[in-house]
Amino acid sequence: MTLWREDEFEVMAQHRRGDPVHVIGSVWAPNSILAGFYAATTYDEQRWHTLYAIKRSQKIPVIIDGRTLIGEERV
Amino acid sequence: MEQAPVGVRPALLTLSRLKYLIGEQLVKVGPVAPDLAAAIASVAVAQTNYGQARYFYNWYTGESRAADTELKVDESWNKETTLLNFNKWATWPHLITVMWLVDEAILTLIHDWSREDPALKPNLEKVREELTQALPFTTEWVRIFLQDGRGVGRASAAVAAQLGPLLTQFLMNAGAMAYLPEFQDRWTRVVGGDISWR
Repeated sequence: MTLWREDEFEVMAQHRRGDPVHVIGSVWAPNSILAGFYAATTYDEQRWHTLYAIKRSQKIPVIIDGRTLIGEERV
Repeated sequence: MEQAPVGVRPALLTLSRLKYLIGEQLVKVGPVAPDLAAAIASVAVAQTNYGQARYFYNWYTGESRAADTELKVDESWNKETTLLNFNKWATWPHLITVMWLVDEAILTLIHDWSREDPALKPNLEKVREELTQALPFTTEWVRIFLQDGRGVGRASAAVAAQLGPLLTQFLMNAGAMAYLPEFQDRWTRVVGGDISWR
């Protein structure tokens, strides 16, 4: 039984300054502080220049399946 | 490696053993953490704890590399094994609370030692940095346990109630003074279920 709610955080990384930022995986965590810690310990196979953890539910959809959502009402 | 000053050696031996015992417990209990990411983090943190145990021991002896046999738990470790009480506290919430409290205590000691004798600071900087980076892991979990308010919350508070005074005594014996009230404030708040601090 899980006593705490968890959210999915996408983990994005940049190898060197100027490289593209890629999604390298995701972690589930009860909060953003733990998500950051988990991202660092789970994806520590190399030294990153930049590493982000972004809460999936807080991503803003702009274009989905080729369709631009700007100006559309989001539910 | 240059041997640590006489005054800090006894505390370094204790720190080395506490870190080693926590590392061992993390390897045993970490895999049954509540989720996969926490289990992976536990293994990574265990490695760091072993590294810190070895570092404190090497500085204590003045050797650059301790033999593996020198970090073997025997009856001479009774003080540390009794302090951590892992036979009684075998679950993940217990372990995380113990680790949080021990890391807070070591950071308190590092701050006090560095303040009293700036010459010690360079030897303590890397460990201080590692402890500071690992602290959010344990702090956030202790906060989650206490928020639960049921069994795990009570278990976490019980660890703080038992281990807090013992670590306070250890810190006083090791010469920590300036930051000691802050440490005491932290664990007494956890005993009372107060999680408002950041």
